[in-house]
Amino acid sequence: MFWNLLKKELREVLTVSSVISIVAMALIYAMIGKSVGSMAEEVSKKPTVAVVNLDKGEFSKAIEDAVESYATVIYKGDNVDEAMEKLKKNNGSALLIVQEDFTQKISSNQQAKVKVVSILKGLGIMDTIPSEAFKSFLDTLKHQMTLTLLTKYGVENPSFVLDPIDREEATMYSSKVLEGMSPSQLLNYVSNRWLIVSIVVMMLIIMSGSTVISSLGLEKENKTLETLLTMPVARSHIILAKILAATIAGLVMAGIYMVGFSLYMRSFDIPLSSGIDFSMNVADFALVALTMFSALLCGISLAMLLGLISKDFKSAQTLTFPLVALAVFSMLLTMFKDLSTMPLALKIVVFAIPFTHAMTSVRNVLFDNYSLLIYGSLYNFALAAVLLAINVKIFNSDSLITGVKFARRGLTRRFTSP
Amino acid sequence: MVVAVERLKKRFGTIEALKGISFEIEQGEIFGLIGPNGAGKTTTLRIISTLLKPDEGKVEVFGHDVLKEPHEVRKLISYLPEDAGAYKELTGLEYLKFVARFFAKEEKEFQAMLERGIQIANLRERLKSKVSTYSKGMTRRLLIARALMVSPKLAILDEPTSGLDVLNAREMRNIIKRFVNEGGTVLLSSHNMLEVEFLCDRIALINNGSIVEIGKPEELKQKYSASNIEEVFAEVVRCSGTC
Repeated sequence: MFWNLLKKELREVLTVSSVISIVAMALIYAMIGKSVGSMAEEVSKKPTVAVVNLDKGEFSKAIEDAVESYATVIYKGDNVDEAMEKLKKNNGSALLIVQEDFTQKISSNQQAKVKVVSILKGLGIMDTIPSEAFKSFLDTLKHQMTLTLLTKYGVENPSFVLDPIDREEATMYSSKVLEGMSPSQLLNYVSNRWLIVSIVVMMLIIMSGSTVISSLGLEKENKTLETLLTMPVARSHIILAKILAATIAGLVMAGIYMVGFSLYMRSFDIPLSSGIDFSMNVADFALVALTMFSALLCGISLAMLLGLISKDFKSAQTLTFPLVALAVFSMLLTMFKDLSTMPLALKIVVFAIPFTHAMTSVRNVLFDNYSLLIYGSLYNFALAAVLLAINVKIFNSDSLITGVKFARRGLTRRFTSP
Repeated sequence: MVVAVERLKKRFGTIEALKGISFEIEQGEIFGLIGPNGAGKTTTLRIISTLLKPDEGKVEVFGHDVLKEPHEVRKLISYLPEDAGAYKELTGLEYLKFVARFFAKEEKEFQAMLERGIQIANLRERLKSKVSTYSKGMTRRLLIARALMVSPKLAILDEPTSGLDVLNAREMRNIIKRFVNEGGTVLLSSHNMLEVEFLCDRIALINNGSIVEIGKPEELKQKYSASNIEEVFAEVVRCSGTC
């Protein structure tokens, strides 16, 4: 009997059109990821540049040689137009112009000038990488030139003079000292992973939640729920079938979506330079999975409650908003502030949103913040139990047919029509 | 006794939907509840079909109290709400199979129910199409088939022919008559007085939450010297409590 209900629910929620739309969305992400290419690959690529040397002196020759060892130089000469033409043809990223009095000025202790023309093919993040990489190379070149000049002026140890302090990076977070890692490196690494987890959780909640709400809205509109409730089938089976079908549908849809999204995110992943191990063991994975499950259960129970007070399919669609808003609110807040650094009132609000614990689960596991994870999961399970109990109560009451009553300023309003 | 309703009361907030109605339905009869919109017909049907709980009074279906033994009642009845639909992602045949699985105890019984459903629906090849492609008439036929194929002891039909064209409505009425001839009992509601007169063995006229008259259509017509039930109803409502 339960299988009969589950099969029907799955047929209703996992429709060909809904799966096609998710697959299409995943394909779009994957295609964007593929066309953008890998950020790491892009950074390690040699930039294609042209050098217009109008000086021909000793120092400009040194610059020319250094550029050649770093980049693919497609033009060396003294004609700017020709150089630009070649760059355009070869998809080049920058043009370096060494002014004609470069060597003379440096030799006479005056500031010499080089001009860098960066060729941007677009305003996207990936489009600016080659030019930015070339600019940072020129900074190194400047450093090298300073060293040469210091030696020329008789400074004994020019490298030491330029860099007398050896800076060693270390970051301490959540009582864990991360040697060789700057805060920005840590943030970059954690944010990339955190974003994927948050998106997975958000998609799971939204997909499963809207499935439940829509399914109940549709059942009310078509009066199929009325028919079902008069059949010899346990009401707990009806609730359970709806929850299970929504979970399966949510997992399938979020899974398809995430394949595309992870391909997209892979393009922006920059490998960590320090040798710090951020791997997770089996227990960590189990804890993350448990927290996700607890959040999903809360999301579906909340969605069912919203579905029960919906009048029809249209109002059910509108009622998905509170669920989406909660998920986005939790995601954005934990993106800008860590739970531990929030003011107490905000901390309570964010902790009360069940999705927070799933979204921050990986971060908490990586930094051994197990107590927050465990308390979060326990809270989620308790909240899910309360929400389910309310659902069962509504399912066994007249309110399912006549609507849920809300008393407001002495006025009694019914959310669904009798 | 199939149904026994005794001093049934139901309130929705400040609205008293049923003010202590009582009636009984015998085995093998078609009993009609007639009244205008908002009279309490659907509320009465929903209570008998265990969807709503009575506030006061007693309702028994084949001796089972709807409040104490709702699951037992659900095994014996089949309810068709007004303007109901079916699951749009299923085909007509899949919908019939879905419902039959809840009632059939064994495969043989399941197949028999399905055969009966296919026969009543009479949708031929269209039974293999998705319900979302059906017209209103086709959906109603499917739902009537769903309600009657499980051979319920009591079929509760809320406005069974509402929204149907003349020919479809006529066929639905014939199907209901056939069901009763084969030993079933029907409780239906309608505000189509002519339909009720044609179908029902006994009727209860309900107005503003109270049953104002009950009896066989012929007896009522005689009592109020009316040519049809519509006239009876108008007369009863006009002098309700004063004549």
